[in-house]
Amino acid sequence: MAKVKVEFKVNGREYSREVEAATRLLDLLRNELGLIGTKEGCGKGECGTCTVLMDGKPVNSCLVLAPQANGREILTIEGLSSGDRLHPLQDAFIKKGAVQCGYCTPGILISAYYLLKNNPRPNRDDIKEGISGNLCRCTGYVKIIEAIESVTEGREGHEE
Amino acid sequence: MIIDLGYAAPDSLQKALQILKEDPSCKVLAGGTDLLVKFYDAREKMGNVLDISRLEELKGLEIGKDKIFLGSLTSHEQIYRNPQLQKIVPFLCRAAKSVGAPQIRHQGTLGGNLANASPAADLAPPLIALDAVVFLAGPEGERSFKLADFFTGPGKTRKNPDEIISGVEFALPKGDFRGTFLKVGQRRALAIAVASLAIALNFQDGVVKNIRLAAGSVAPVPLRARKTESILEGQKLAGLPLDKAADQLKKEASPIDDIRGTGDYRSQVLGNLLRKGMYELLSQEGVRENG
Ligand SMILES: Cc1cc2nc3c(=O)[nH]c(=O)nc-3n(C[C@H](O)[C@H](O)[C@H](O)COP(=O)(O)OP(=O)(O)OC[C@H]3O[C@@H](n4cnc5c(N)ncnc54)[C@H](O)[C@@H]3O)c2cc1C
Ligand code: FES
Ligand code: FES
Repeated sequence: MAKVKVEFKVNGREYSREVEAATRLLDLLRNELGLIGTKEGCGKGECGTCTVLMDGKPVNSCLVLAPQANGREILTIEGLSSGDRLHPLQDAFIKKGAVQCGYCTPGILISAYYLLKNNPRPNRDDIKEGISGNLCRCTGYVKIIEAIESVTEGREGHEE
Repeated sequence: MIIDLGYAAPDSLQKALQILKEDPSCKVLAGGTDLLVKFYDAREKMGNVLDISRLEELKGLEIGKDKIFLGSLTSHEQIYRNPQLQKIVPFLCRAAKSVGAPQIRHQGTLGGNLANASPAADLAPPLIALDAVVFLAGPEGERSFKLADFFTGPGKTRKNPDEIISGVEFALPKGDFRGTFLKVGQRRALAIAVASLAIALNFQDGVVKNIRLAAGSVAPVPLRARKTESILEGQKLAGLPLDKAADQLKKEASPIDDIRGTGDYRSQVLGNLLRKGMYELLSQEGVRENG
């Protein structure tokens, strides 16, 4: 089948690829660009582990067709750290023990990143709401919420 | 101009309509939150995709002196976060906020919510209660329907396959207007309604006026409950016949059993939502029982 051209920016870098029309953004990121930090859980918008920012907004990349990303800017988990320096949220997740199997973590970090960008001082309910589209089967969420909270308190996860 | 690559993202509504006219079987794609779930198992069967998500013509959100127009690409998040809408029709924002989770609210659109025509579509009840009109753009020009008459069955509307929903419009509420939207789901986030109810009315001189009730998930379509409305219309706020109205509302609905609840349960919930919603409106500030 003929292919559709997708030219877009991912984590600040320009990419150009040709994909079949029915390819999902999730598949383009993982299979074509090798950005396998973004995971597939359900493929149906329920679990959020495929969350990326598209033009600054959180979307489930399993529900976006790759051609829809043409001309857009995407942020994936790989774009959160700068070089060897982890993002404060990533630091906090490690320090607070908010990661167990880690499958949900990329999506939750992107959701948390979006939350804090728009609301630097969220309360507990805001945090719960902000990650309500992300399922975690391991942690019970408490540590995740504490980790996000520790960043909002300006402690950036460095204190105990 | 037929889609040759299986995908087209035209830059004008006119071009999109032209494509649809030539191939009415192609799938219109807005936010994709319904469409991509539907074709999860068989994306290759999706066929040609007409991506309308870039059409500027469908993006407006105009709040005028008498009317409010919401373009079909308006997202749930945009409705929920709009400060003017929060002031004028907070219950519509509440409905938009109740949709899915942040990702779904950013992706999912008003037009998709209505075109998908789920009996559980959360924007339908408040918009029906606002007596909204839905606009369709087609090859022969524009048509419009009262939203209350737009849905014809689960997944079915009066829209032709070669038409695109351009938006909805409703009159700016006047006088002592009140509205509420209540939704019961199985959990607090990512919950499809087990039953939902929107109420819009005026409290005028201690009397209920212009009441409109619309319920979700309790009938094959989002349901405007006119018989129940007539029981409450014109009644004094002191001593509203709520039991009678709740009984009528249950009769007007025809909920089915499914994975989210039984028909009996939905019916019971619906009656309770009416009581709860009316109490909520009555207990809001500034309600006077005798004018
Ligand atoms: C996890 C999850 C949770 C959800 N929770 C809720 C919820 O709580 N409440 C709720 O109401 N919905 C919910 N939904 C359903 C869905 O997100 C909404 O109905 C959404 O508004 C659909 O909009 P969309 O733009 O994504 O539609 P799309 O998937 O792009 O389209 C849906 C259908 O409408 C057609 N269409 C879209 N736009 C137009 C148009 N302008 N003109 C003509 N046809 C058009 C498409 O061809 C398709 O058939 C949920 C979905 C998921 C995946
Ligand atoms: S994989 Fe996308 S939401 Fe689960
Ligand atoms: S850490 Fe395992 S799913 Fe969240």
